[in-house]
Amino acid sequence: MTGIIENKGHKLDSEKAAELIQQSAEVENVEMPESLEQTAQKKIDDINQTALSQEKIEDQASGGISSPDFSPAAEKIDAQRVAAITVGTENIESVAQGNSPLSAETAKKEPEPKKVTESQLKSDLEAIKDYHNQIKELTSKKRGNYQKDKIIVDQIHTIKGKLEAEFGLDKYSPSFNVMSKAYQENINVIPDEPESGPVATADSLSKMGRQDLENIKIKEGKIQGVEYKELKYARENLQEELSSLVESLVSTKINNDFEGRIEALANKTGLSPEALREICQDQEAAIVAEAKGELSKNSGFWKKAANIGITSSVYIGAGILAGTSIAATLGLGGLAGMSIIGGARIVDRSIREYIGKNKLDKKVAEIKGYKTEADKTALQDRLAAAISLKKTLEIDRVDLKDQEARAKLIDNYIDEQAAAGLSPVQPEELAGYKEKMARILNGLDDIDRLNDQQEQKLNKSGILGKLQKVEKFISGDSAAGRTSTAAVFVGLGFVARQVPIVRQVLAGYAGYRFGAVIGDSILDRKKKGLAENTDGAVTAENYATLRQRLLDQDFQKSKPEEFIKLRQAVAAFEDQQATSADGHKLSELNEQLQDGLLKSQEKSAYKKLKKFAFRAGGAVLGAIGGEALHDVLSHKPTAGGGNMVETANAKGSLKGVSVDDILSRGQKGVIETVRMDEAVADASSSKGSVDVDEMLARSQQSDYVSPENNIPSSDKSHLFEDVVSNKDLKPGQHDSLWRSTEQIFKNHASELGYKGDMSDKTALEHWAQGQTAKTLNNSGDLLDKVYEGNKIIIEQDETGNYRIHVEQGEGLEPGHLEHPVKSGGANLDENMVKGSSKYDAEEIARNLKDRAFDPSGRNPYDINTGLHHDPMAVEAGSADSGTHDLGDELHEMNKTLHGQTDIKSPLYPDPFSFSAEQAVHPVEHPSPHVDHSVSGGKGTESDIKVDKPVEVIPPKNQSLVENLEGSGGGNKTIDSIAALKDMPNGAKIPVGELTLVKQDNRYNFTNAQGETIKMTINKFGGFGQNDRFGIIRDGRILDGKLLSEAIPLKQTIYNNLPDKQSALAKELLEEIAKNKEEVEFLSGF
Amino acid sequence: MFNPFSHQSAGADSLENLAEEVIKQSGLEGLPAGDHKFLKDNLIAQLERRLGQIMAANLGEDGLADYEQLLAEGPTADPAKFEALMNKYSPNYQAKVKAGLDEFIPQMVESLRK
Repeated sequence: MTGIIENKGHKLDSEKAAELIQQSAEVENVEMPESLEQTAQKKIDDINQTALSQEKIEDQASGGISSPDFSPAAEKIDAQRVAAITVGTENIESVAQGNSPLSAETAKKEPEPKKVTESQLKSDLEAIKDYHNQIKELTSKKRGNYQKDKIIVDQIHTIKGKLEAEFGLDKYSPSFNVMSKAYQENINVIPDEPESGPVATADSLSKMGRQDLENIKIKEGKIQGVEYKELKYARENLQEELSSLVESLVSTKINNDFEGRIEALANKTGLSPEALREICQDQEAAIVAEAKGELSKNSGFWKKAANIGITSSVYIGAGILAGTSIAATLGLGGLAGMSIIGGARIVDRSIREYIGKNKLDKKVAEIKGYKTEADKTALQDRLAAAISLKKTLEIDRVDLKDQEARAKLIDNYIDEQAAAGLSPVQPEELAGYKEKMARILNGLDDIDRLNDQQEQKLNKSGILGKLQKVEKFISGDSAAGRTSTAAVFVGLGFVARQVPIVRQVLAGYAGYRFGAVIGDSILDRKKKGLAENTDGAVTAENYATLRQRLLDQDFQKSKPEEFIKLRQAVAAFEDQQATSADGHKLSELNEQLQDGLLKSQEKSAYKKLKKFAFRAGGAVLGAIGGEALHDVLSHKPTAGGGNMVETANAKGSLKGVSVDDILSRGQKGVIETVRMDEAVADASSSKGSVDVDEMLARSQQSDYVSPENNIPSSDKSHLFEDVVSNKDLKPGQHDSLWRSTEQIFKNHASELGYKGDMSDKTALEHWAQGQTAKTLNNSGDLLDKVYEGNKIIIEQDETGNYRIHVEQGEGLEPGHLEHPVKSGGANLDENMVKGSSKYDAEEIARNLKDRAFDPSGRNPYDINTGLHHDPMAVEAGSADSGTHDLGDELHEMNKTLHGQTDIKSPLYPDPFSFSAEQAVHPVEHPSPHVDHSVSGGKGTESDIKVDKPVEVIPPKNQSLVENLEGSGGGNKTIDSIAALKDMPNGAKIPVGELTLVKQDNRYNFTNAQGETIKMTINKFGGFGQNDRFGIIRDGRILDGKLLSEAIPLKQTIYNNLPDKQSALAKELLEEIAKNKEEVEFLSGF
Repeated sequence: MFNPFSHQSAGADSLENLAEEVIKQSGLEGLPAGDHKFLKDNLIAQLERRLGQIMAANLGEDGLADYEQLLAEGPTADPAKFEALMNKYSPNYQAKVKAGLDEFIPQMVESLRK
């Protein structure tokens, strides 16, 4: 017979085998009684057996000696080789190493290296290992019988075929490492591509992590009854207890066994009885809520309740059960939630009181009465769910202070939700979502801790002790510890927030104040950031930051120049935004604008007015409107200039960006992205333009210096002003330089550096008087003879000291009092005054006394004026007056000036006193230009009431006036603010039906009836700040609450302007619209 | 009896707006509705709590006693009476509230920005 044997892929011809066997027999002296063929077959079997045994040994050696190639494509082994193998002259290893010609041929056929990703490699190696193990397992099953093992061998070949087909492995090795290496040599491994789905492997990983974390927590927290965290388990194993509780809940009477059931549940689940009672209370509360809803359905009560958010906070427990928030579901940030519960209980009690307990109880009983079995089952399930959740939370809350563990918990949970298709965000948003949730929960804990610390401070001061009744009232008997403590304050805050003034404060944070405090915080803590956040241009990205910077009062004061530039640049950006296609955000506000005035205007004007809408509304409402709001809250004038003098006025060198330019560029859409340096170029001083980086950097370098510490300005800076007026004074009283100065300090105490308690009027007055004395003393050659209508302006010099100067304003020209010193009534020895060796305090004191009283007795001299002129003398005198502390002495003097106390000293045996009204020259002649009865109206000329016609002063430059009037285009000439300013004082020109007369830089528009509208031109105007066109009445610019009365007067002027397209008309129109917005905005406060 | 619902919507709105501002400034806008609400509710509670702390700190012993008296009249103090109380014991409480919140709000934002 000719047979082919197979052993490890080597096919053996039986005839050749017979020859080999014969040869072999000769060597081994083997008897061969059978036919050669028979013998050969038998020998083949033996060979096979030998080979199989060898393979087995090799396999067991696991990588020791390689086995012959098992490739299906293996060459037929000739008999000689078989014999050689058999007799051991050629070992198996040499075959395995491919020393055969066929092996070399196979090598030539190796497939081109293919690219395999790292993940795929891992997967492939696992598959190869799997095949490898299969082969090993099959091999181990061989029994050394060819026939019997043939099936196994076939299976092995099949697997090997797969190894080659799938992985190009045409050689088998009993060592998987060899196989692995061989595979990797034939491929190019490339990195994984980015995960197409973040949850691809997150599920398994998160579950592993979550379980690990849970196990740690369970162990560390020594948590019992962990199995009840599984809802199914809880439901099935707590049926009896829960059923009993449900019966109690739907009954008007508590089941006698209620506490027993709670106890049993506590023992089983490991939850505290309090926690279990709370679960029941939540469900009871749900029923009560249902009753409240029923009762309030028709009264609108619930709607009102919803307005204050009680529906969201009363049943925070229910909120957790609802699981709408991952944080709530995980029970994180729960401490904050507890304070909500505390506050909510107050509201809850309010509701009960509001509805009436009996009525509510009745409704609750009614609702309980019609609970069906299905309802009860649902209720039982909810209880089980609540227990399950409590257990989950109990575990999760272990070691919650560990932020890393918590972050991991959040990550895992979010991953699980995503894997289950329950994620509230898109897969690509998961990473950001996790980060935010971690921030929220850690942040809430931080905030809670801040309030804890604050309460601890308060507790040390005994406040909580004073509020024990409140605490008990609010928290009831169930709450204790932190919860009830927090609840006390939440309750107090709950009441406080309803107080109008507090509401105003809160509302203020909607805009400016919020931005300001945040901005301050950023600057204070980081001393950097703004400059880093901007590339020099005002963009949508840095707008908010720059706006915050702009709204910073300290910045405004300390860096007025930069402030103005920045404001202009930001305003230009706002203009651009408002006139861009993105103006859709303004639609709502624009609708409000489309009343009266706007309806009558052409579209172009309307478009321009959008700018103001933008500034007043939408996203910017807070930021800009807040400026006005801040002023309201600070009781400062808001719009129209007020007595907040533009800080740059004194500069003179600043040249504002042309509004016309901005408007025209904005209309044409030219301003796309307003470069800061471009925007401020026109506004730059002689120092040249300053870009925002430099500006901000400079502004930050010096930090903020309080007014008390002076402003590092190289120039003096106007701050506030007051107009001398006897209005509202008692009969016999007169305003004065002193009084006006003191009034400025009182009105702007905080801005001018007062750090004390504003509510302490005595202290405030003391401070204001001291500051007044100091300021007058520092004011040089002061015009101390003032008249009604004069302006007292406080400013700050280069050293930071305050001083005042007097301007004529609407009054008569101020002058100097005839002081005794000047008139020779009293002479101080300069040497003594200067503290020379000839110092004679007594004489100084005498001279001071002489100064204090005018010889005529009609014009007493002010000690503070003495301070102003002769501070050394006063100091010397005070030192000898028995009061060695000049501060005390000054205080005494100041008080004396107000007639409150007398100076009593050995040097002044006769007490003297004089009041502030007498301290400076009284107003003897009210200004003829002050009109007292201009009243507001609806915007018509007939509403203007003036009791005195304007006194037209003959123009000083008659030729110019004539030129204006005689030019034939006089009205056209006055087409801009610049033209107004160019008018010489005293000039008179017709403006429509009005006559404009410029007088002392005031613009008086008088109609045929002699009624006059007095107008000022201010340098800058912005929403909530001041107006470019200020209307004056009673010496005061109409602003704040009076702003509404300025609007019709401005409109009258506008209506009379002959050229409505002129820059002046446009600007005036815009301001009217701005004023309307401001009035509307302010009306809410 | 004082009906809190006829008085407080504006205050609530302001506080909600403030909480929204905190969320905005903290870069936590765009959360899923449930999470947003959770955060806002908690912030409102903490703001309310701080407001209460500020008030308590400025009422003084007598003021706190009067506050307790107010609560004896109903579940929540009548805001008008409470305002009178504040005016009596802490006339410049507006500035104090501002100062207190000026301190607290940046802390809140900073906590949430970490």
